[in-house]
Amino acid sequence: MGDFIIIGETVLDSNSPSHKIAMRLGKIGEAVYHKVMKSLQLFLAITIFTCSLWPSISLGTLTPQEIVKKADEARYPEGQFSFLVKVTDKDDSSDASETLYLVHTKDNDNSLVETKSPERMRGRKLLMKKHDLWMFLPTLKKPTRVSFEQRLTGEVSNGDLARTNFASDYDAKFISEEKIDNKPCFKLLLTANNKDVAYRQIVYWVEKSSFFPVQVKFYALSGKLLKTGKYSGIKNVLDKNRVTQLTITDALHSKRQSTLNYFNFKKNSYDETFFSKESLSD
Amino acid sequence: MIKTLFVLSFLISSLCFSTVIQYSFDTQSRIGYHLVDTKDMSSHRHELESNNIIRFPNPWSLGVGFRAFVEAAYASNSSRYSDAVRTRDSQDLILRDLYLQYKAGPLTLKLGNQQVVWGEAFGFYYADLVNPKDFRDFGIGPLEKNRLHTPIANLKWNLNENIIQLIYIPKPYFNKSPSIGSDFAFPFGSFFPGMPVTFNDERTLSWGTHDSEYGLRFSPGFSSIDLSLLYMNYHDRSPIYLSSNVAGQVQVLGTHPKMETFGLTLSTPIEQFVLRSELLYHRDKSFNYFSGNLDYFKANQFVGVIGLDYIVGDRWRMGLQFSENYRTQTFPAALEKSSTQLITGHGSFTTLPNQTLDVLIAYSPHDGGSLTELSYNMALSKRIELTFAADLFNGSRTSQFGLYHPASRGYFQLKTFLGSEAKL
Repeated sequence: MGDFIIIGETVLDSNSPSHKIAMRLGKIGEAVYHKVMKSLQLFLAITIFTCSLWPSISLGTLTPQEIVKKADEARYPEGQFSFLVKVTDKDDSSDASETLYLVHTKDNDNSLVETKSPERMRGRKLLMKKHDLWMFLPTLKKPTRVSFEQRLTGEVSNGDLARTNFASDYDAKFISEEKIDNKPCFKLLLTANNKDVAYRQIVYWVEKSSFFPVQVKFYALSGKLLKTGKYSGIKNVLDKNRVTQLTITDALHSKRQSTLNYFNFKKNSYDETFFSKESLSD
Repeated sequence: MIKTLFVLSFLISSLCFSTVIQYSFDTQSRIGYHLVDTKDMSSHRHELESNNIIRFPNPWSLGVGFRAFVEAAYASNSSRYSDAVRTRDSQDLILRDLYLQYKAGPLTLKLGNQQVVWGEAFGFYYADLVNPKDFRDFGIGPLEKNRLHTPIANLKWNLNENIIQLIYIPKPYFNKSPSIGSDFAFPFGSFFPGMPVTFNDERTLSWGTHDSEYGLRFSPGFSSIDLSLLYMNYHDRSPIYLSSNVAGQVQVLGTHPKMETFGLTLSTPIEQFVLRSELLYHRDKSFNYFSGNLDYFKANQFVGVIGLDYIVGDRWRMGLQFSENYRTQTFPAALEKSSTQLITGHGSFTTLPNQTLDVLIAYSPHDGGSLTELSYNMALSKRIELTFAADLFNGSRTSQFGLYHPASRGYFQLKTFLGSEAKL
């Protein structure tokens, strides 16, 4: 048996006419192959050079928006769930005070925040439904509409408690890479994509390796820095490691600090009327 | 027998499984003094209030609550307060919630003693007409506290955020008026100078369909606007007085004629403001007049309320409200003018952490009277709150508020909040 040449899955005898044709085709193919390879090498060299100059491509396969979404998942589960938040406020002029809230949330658009402690504030509720906001005070015993500006009020803003993800409210852009507490992070600029969020812009640091949020700066509509936040306390929450602590420092009064501890997360299923204004008094 | 017990115990245990009980026991102690004329004691009151909700696994829940108080000022200040006040108002036990609620999907049915609150205005009751109120203390204080819980069948249907509410009241109850001789009593004696007056406005109607009342509210589910249309067929919660002179003794009796109310309420946010408004039409409402004796006539009345709330940062909240009551029929001897107005302003200011100053000022342009309520609240701990407050009535003695000028008072109050939540 002579030499064999393989074309596709067909095996040819070296003495056959088909073999001669194949040999001629092979020489043409070899020439084409070398030309293609040279072009490819040149293309790769240009691509690598361009990538080194354009940092956003170095995010890997994820876009900035996807990174924000991953960081959101490292803060809260998706879907319908409830959790408790203990907010500890510290001020140099007074002792630390603690407030405990129970938060029910569904798809980021529906949130109900109930004050559980201190006792004298027990029973107060805040309902946020898309762009509508209502307060329920036990001393009135009826839901009262409040302006959406009120999402900014409170030691920790109502919006901080009631809105659980950034990805749907903000458009993200890559700024740079930075080390925060020795952790390599993506530094992202988040700009509000609707007028109903608590902050116009957020600068957000997300750890490169784990996508855990590390640090955050919140800016007002005027562009003024309002407060800075640091995430910590990684724990297993509903089968996934998540950050469970956020320490917020007032930008103007650095001694005014609020620490939010998140715990007791539970998956829930809420019926249609749970996030209804009418249900607040039931 | 054993089978029945077994079934019963099974039912009870399954009913209690994952039941949540929210319970509270709050106390309130108040000591107050009059601020004008004789600076004597106006109040020495101790209260205990308990509100409890038992949430069975869906769809049932049970509400049970009461308030009890003793008021020692009437006994200790006998030079000012009469025996009638001492007897009637020195203590009371008030049943609050006692209802069973069934909530499944879009339907909520609540049966029993409860509050049903309508309206968007603040400070005063306009569309909030379902429950009677306790005016023995002029209605000052939290609106919720002054509402009297009454038996109501309350059905709500939430159809894609469109709310239809039907209420049925089998036995009407009425406002509690201040006793003759108490700080906020209406001075009936001025109509009958030198004559002894006996007074009774505690009218009781019977259970059943004859005197029963009903109401309807419809709230369409618009975004960014809370709108409600309401209708109520009921007895006037405030008494209308009739007097008779029997052998030199004047008897004043309260009655509560039937009437109807049609209403529209709305609230909507405008930037950092919230606009609140109510428009009510009282059909066949009764009004008192005096012509040798107290009697009444029927007329229709419009009530319009418009107000704005404004929030400044997270420490200041303010609101301004204007209301007009307009009776369609003038009547020369009527006790109430055909057109009356009220301008109300309120503010809540956080001065230091956990300390707030609340101010409410109400002014009646038609008679020049005013009411100022000031209170400074300090949280002493998670469960204790101390309040310093003053209620000041000003204006001429014929004005709506100036009439009660001698009742102006200052007081301090200590509240404790006990309670928690337990899961079985």
